[in-house]
Amino acid sequence: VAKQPPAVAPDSVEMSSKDSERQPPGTVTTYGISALREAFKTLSNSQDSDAAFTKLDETDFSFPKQLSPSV
Amino acid sequence: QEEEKPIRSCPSPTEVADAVKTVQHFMEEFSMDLSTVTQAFLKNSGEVEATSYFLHNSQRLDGYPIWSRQDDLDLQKADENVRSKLIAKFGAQNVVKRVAFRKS
Repeated sequence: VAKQPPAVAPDSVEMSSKDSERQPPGTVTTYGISALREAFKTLSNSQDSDAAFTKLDETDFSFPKQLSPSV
Repeated sequence: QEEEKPIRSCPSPTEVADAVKTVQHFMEEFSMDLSTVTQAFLKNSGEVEATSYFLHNSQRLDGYPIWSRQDDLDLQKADENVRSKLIAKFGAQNVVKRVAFRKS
């Protein structure tokens, strides 16, 4: 009995089995810090958005406190 | 001979536009402001999937903590002991990713 050909062509092997969800080719899943800086500057209303971004980078993350619904 | 170009990256307009859309999407999805979403990206090494999971569940999918300022400062030290502690804390792969992210 002849062996069955591989189901997947060699050039279509996925990079990571973990990332097997449907994503259009070329979609970025990790942004560099410079891209995030530019995105922040685009969206920010701050006059010194560069400094604001640096401050975010240099401080630790904490989730915003949610207001109690009873207040 | 051509001079070697500086490694300091200049993101492509496509990458920036994509990042803008993703940040906006997360702001709507999680009802969070720009600073919170951006900082979440920064502390998750720019990983979209990890940031999304973190904002949703307040922890990372891989079980490791997010990066703090002190961790980033430690990462800059050329000290084997410090590096080993970071690897123990974040996993070798996340340390490699972080180094690449800081340079990106």
